[in-house]
Amino acid sequence: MITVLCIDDEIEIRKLLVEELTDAGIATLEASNGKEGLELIVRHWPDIVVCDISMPVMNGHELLAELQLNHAEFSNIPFIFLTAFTDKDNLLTGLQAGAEDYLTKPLDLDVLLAKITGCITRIENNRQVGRAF
Amino acid sequence: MMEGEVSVNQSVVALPRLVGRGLLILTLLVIVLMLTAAVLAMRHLDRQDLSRERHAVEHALDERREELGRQHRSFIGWDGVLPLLVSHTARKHYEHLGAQLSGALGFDLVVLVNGEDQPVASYRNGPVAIKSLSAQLAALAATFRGKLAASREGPGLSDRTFVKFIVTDEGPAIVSIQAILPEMSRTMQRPSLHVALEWLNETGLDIISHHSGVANLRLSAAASSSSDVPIVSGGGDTIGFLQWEPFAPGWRMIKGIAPAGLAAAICAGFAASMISGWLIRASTALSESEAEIRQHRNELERLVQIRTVEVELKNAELDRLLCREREVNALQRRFVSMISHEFRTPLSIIDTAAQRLTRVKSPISGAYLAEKSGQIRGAATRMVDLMESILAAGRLETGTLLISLKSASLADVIMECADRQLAVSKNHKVHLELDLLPPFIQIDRDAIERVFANLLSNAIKYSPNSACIFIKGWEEDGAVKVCVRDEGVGMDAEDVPNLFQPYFRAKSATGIAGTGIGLNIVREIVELHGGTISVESSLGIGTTFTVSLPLDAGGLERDRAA
Repeated sequence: MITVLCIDDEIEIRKLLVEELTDAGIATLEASNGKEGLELIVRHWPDIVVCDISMPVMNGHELLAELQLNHAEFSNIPFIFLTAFTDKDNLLTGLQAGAEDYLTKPLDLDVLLAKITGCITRIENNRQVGRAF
Repeated sequence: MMEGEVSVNQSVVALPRLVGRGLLILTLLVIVLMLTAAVLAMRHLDRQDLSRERHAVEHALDERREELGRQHRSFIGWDGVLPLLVSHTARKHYEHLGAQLSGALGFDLVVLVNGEDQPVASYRNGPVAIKSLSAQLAALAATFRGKLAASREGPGLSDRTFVKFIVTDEGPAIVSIQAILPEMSRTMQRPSLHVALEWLNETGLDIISHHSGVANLRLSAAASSSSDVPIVSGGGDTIGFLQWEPFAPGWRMIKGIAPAGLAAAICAGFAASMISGWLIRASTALSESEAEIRQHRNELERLVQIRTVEVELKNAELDRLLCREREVNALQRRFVSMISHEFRTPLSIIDTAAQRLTRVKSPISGAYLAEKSGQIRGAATRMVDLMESILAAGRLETGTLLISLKSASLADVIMECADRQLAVSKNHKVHLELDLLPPFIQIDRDAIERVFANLLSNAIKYSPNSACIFIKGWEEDGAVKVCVRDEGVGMDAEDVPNLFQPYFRAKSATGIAGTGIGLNIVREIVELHGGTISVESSLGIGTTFTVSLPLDAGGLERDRAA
């Protein structure tokens, strides 16, 4: 089963995401900031991370950089930004750091689901290739 | 470089003045030197002439005295006369002798005395009767007679004539005493003294004056300062002085040339002073114009300096303004970005909740609808608050934020705010201690609600990991105080002073949603109520805001109305 980690300081957003993903048959984890998110990644190795940028303690950019720098084993996990920042600076920073995608709020749940489905397909293909060898 | 030129110019300018003064001083010096030399020469000349005159007078006096003796000798040596006298009676002989001595030889008085110093015959322009010799003459006669007696036994009288100055009854005189021995005159049976006098009276002085060439000789008992010759008797006594008016040729010469000399000196002095005055005036004019030029130059330099400083100041001011402008621009850009972010977050909640209503797979229950409705309404409230904040900020900037005071319960306002915030953030717990607040105070209820909504939402927002918020109210010194304390992230001490500036956000607020306008509005509202707000904070421990509102806010209202 595929697990998606949702990191957002807005509890309502988190709740709505979890609801949607659960409906789609995807397991979820929740974190309210980057630091909590990092702990959950290390502990549960989720398949996909959906992460806000503006959060207390550790923001989304910092979390992604931390993963790439100090936790290379998790750097292959698809990392999708979901943020209310629509400016180009944040978009470029996120993509350059290795994000899978950069989605903005308000959010079309179809787009998010399509993106996650795409990732799942790729992940499962990789697993089958891994098993074949 | 410039300074060097100026100093050279200055010395050139001062040269005429120096020359002018030198000329004047030199001229005056020459005049004074000439006058001094003339006076010195005059005095030297006069002194020399006086000494010459004195010599002449002394010489004439000596000559006169010697003449008297010589006359005696020539008379004595005159052999032809004496035998002639022998044939006459003794009396006549004496008389003749006296007449000869007195008249022909010019003696004033001739007295013939016998061996007992008795005058035997006297002549003074003819025979006169003199009964006795004066004491002085008698003393002289005695002296001479002593010598005479000694000569008889000894080698003989070397000089039979004795001449000296004496003082007689009628004043100073030259006296001549001559011994007449019997072997020299057959008429004389025994030796006799022949006394002759020449008074230094008018006639006598005339003769000396004539001989010496010094005019106007006169006799004086006392010495004068310079022009006199003492008359010294044989005994060494000074018996009088011959005085005269010195010729003083130097003084006469000076007197002669004085007018011409003075005129010349005055002319020279005048000319020198004219020339020197002209030079000094020229020099002064030059130096004045030079000073003027220098002053102009200094003024120009000063002006340039002032202008330079002004330009630099303006540049610095422009730089500062530009910097400030950039800061404001950056703040505003960040603000716009934050506003966009802050709107998009509740919008996103609303939008997603709405999408969920159509996408939900299980049948929609009443509870589910209520939950979605709550999410949507909560987000809408956030958006309204945000919009109100922005509008209030706009009103602050345009100065149209107004409050109207009405009686209200501060405790109610705070409790309503707390309820509303807790409805949104269910993880936090607010501890209220509002019993000590007065039941009613004069406030603008909506504005004060905004104050506490802001403080409370901040307290919740910036303490994500600690659930407790404390609100405490009390009355103190005529003011109502309410403090809102959290145990959240806190902030750096250096951020505290800027906390109420518009758009400012503390470093510890990074990653926490916010626009940076809330606290600015809070402070403005509190101050419009005549109150104050203060903050204490330490990083990682928490923050306490204390709002102080005056109990008598009506007074403020009245003040404002007045």
